[in-house]
Amino acid sequence: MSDQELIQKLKDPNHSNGAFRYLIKHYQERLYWHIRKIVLRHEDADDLVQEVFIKVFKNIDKFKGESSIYSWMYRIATNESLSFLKRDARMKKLPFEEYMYDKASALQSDVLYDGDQIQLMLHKALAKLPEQQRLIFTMKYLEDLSYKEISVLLDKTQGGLKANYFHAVSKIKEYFKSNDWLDQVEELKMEAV
Amino acid sequence: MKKESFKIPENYFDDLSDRIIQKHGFDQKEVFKVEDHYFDKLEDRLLDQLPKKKKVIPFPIALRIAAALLIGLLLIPFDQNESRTETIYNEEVITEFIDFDLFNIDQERLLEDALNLNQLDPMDFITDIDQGEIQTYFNDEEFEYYDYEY
Repeated sequence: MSDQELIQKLKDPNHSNGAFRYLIKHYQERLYWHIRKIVLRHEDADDLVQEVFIKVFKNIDKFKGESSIYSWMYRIATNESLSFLKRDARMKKLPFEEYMYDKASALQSDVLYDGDQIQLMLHKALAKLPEQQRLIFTMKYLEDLSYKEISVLLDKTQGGLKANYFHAVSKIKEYFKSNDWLDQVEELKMEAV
Repeated sequence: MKKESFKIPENYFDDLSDRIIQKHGFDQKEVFKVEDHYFDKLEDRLLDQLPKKKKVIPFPIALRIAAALLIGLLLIPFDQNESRTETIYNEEVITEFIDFDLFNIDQERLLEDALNLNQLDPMDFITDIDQGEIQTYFNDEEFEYYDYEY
């Protein structure tokens, strides 16, 4: 089904339930993994993916079709995930960086996390980054999105994204070096290209 | 910068995992895990949670219901023992108040029923007007339906 046809059906009350079934079937997994990479914890990602789909369902009439439906949902998922992290940090009364670092550290005992020491270090290093740099690094490095794709999804210039990615890589490398993980930096291959 | 419009290529996700592993040596999907059949269950939960949208009642049907109710209001008060004169009066009332063309009404059948008012109940008039559509509508208990054609 083409995007245009899908959007038409989503907006038509007589076809919307079937169209949403299609939407969920096709996109739930991709959205879940995007959200999970931002919020790290499965339970949070599970709640958020449901909220995102409900939001999509309630706001479909406002969708103008200027981007693909997936790009629109991806943007909603990103915004919801970032808002959740800020809200949760405030509720726990923790500075954001400390909150993110605690989340990354908790992965070590998470039964639904199977990363090795390098990957765990990478998440701890990411927790130290400002929000935009962390998000851009996640999208570029962990999700393999191009600068062009990220620029549309986040409504940022490609130049700005490259600068943010470069700063993120520098800080991550610095973090690894400061923890005597020098030899692991090369293994992560984070060239700012 | 002018905002660009693009669509993520259809096959973008097909080999994404392989590409990431090739590039970085590991994929986050292998690092982060979910329980078995999580996505099957998630799909069911999402479908359960979606607010059900009501089927839209086409405007002409709403008009027909209004017309039927109007006729019902005009005709019900007349007693079964009323004279034929009164029944003819009913016919005049009907023709005066109802725009037959607007509501796509079978005028002859409706007037014939109006003349035999003492043998009918209001639902017969409704059926005359909409040729069964409204009755079907009322029989549809939840007024919702799902499109499972995909």
